[in-house]
Amino acid sequence: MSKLFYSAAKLLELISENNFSGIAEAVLKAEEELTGRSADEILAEIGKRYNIMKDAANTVINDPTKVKTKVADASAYKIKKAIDAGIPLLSSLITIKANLYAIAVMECNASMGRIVAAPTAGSAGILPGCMIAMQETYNIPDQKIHEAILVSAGIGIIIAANATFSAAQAGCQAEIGSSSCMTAAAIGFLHGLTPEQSVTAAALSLQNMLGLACDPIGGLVEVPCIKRNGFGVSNAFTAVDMAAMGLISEIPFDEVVEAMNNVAKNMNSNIRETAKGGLAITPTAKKLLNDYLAKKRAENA
Amino acid sequence: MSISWSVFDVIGPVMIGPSSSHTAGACRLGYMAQAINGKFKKVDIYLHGSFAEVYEGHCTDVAIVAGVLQMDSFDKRLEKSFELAKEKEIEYNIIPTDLGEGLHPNTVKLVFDDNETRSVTGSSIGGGKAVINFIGKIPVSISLEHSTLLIHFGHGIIKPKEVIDKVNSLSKNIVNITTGQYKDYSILTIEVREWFTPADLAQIEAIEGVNWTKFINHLSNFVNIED
Repeated sequence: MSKLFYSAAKLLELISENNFSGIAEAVLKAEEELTGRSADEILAEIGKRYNIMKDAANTVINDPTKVKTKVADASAYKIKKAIDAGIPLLSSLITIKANLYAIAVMECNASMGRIVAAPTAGSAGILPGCMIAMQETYNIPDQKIHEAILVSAGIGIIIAANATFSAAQAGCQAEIGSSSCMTAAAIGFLHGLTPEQSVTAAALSLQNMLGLACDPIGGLVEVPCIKRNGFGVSNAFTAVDMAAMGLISEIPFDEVVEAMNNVAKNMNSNIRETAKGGLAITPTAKKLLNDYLAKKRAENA
Repeated sequence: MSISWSVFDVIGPVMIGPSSSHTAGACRLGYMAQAINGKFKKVDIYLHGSFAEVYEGHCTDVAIVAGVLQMDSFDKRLEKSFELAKEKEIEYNIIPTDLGEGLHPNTVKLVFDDNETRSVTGSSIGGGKAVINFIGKIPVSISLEHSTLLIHFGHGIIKPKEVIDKVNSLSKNIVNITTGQYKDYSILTIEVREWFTPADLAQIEAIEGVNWTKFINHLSNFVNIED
């Protein structure tokens, strides 16, 4: 019997039918079947990618001069300084730490550094941000983090099969929305949620992202993308807490993914990665872009 | 063509920023286009839709040129692709345009050495994945998830079934076969789990009506980083 899945309903069914330990094992079995690679090879490759994620985060955290953004203000080092100084927080420390790493990865990305798209480059900060912060806070071994990344991939595969990660097609809901909901399932796994609860966390977090415009300044993956990865982190943590407390998603995950498709069809192309609407056409966005272009011209002259 | 999503397509690609669709996917399109075309001295790169609108900020142009120079999306030389092209004496032109209705918003057409009939048009479909949709005006569906054999033939001279029968007689482990047609010409796209040797290709090219063949190795989604 094939272990491939294209819906959350099927994924959960496979887990109970085969007595899998959880989503991670189900995803591993499907990947073995799809690619012919062994479990060891797959887990080793996940490990490699997690290391690249950590390298990306660490590149810019202590040194704002490494940030080569065009219009966005360097932010990761400010968060790091604030955490080190112990300033009073309203959010939990783990959320703010995950914010730090998420924003750091995105600053590395905007500086043409090497990152792992998860599932896209514009949303590459959320998964590593949460994984690094969870590992640090709860002393989680690498192997367990690698399994959590498999869980996130499982949710991502369902979205890819039924919708899209392309913001040009579906707006930012397809990027930050997908990433945040994949990450919610991964955090759920690390936090001891059942597979059903993890899928609930994914459904709740994606619901909250439906309709999100892709309207970055000058089309650059900077404003609002970098800090929005920070908000994607908070969204994921909140969804996991809700699911852990027994809250349910009235609309099942697979139908939320369908809803994302439907919302995409109702989105004007001005807010689908063309920089022709939303934040991109505000007076300040135009000014920031012009200032950058003038600076670039002066450098080239 | 079979598009399947592996764990490493979702948690990946490993890539140089800033955009998976506009940088990594663009690089992949450039790579696939040159693989389909073969050696060249000049390439005209026509950017369509969102590619035409925001290519500068996403380094889409730089990434496509990196791809046609056979770089992977994680290659740290990617941002220097324009300089590398000049070193290799390869001429490139970046042309934002409108390629018409009904195309994916992230589409590019590459014309090598002014040969329009062998132009390669493809789309970056999100998360770094990409698909070639046209060779010249012939619709195709090429993702290089599997190694792929392309056979261009005039179907006034030979029927697709006869070409397929010949390919089947070589007893390869075939995953999928698709046909695309424009006017009197067709391209067979044959995805396989093994190799076609130069001798195999010579046998196919010997068939009357077959104009050209091209065998392209699949693109792995495992990273092989050496630096």
